[in-house]
Amino acid sequence: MRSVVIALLLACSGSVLAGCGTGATGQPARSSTETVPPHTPEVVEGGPGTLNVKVDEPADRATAFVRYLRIEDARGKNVLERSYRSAPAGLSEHLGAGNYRVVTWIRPCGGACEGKKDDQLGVPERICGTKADVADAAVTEIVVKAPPDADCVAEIG
Amino acid sequence: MLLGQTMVMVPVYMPMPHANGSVPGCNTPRSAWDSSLQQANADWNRSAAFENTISASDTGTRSSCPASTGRVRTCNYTYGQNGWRGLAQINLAGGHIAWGTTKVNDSYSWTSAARRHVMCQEVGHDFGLDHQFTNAGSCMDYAGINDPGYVSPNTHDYNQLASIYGHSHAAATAAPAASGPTTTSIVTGDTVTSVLWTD
Repeated sequence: MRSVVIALLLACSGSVLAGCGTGATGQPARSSTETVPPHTPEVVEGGPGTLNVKVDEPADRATAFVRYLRIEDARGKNVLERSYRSAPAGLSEHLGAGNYRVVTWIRPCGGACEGKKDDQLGVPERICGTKADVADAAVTEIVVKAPPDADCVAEIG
Repeated sequence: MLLGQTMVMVPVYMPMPHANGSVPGCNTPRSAWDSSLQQANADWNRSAAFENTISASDTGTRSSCPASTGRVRTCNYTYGQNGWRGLAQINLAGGHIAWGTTKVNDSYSWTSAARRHVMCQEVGHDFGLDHQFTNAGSCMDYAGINDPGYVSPNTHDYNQLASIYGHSHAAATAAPAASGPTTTSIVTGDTVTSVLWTD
């Protein structure tokens, strides 16, 4: 007997459905007979480059939200993650040459963020991210534009 | 979605803002997302674990898409050029999924297949499923976002649901999604957020 009933709620936006073309991208297909993923070395090739992330956000963000910055490698594995209870957030990291993704989000703290522990914060909001290529002996700049009243946008600076 | 041995979620379906189906400045039929959600629901209902229904809409909540305990809320909106196409969030309080939300981002263009793929995948995350890596024709695969062969669950997904939901209350667990090449998983306390990036 089926005992589970789940509601699916859809809030649709007709005004934003214009120009529905082809924007999504696929991933390279593996063989359907492949059962064991090929081994991929953990080592990132190349020497260290620099990834700078600057968050353009209002200074009073820290009165209501804690910001998080994460760098993931090309396979989605965390390279680093930091939280910022003051504003603006930013980081500069030396990384091996390769492809990364910079991800950021905020979590509401209900005021007095500096005194709040992670388990006292709300769920992640205003998530945005972008890919970032880091080259040997080069500096890659990422700018996160995070206005107080809209979702953020992360771009190559 | 796990709330114990039995769970009743009140079905709510939010009507489109333009009841007559006409959208100013847009020829896209109002059913663009409706049909994707309806198809995803029908697909997931093939699992013996579910008999879910879609219920009335609430067009005032598209932006925030607030969680509602005991429900999965699915919202489409122009969330901005934030890099993600779909975003699912679940709360795993007590080892059961207390609520789930799915956002799909209308700031990016969509093919029909992509709508179905992403809606199916994000709702699958709301039910506690992870991605697949086998490229075996599942909407939970990383591959195939624009491929009509990747718009529905496959046998593995249904087996996973049977494993997750065919349990005693004490044994209930759900598998939060892991990060991957085009996805990010953010785990904060009892909440797991799965992000499907545009690239």
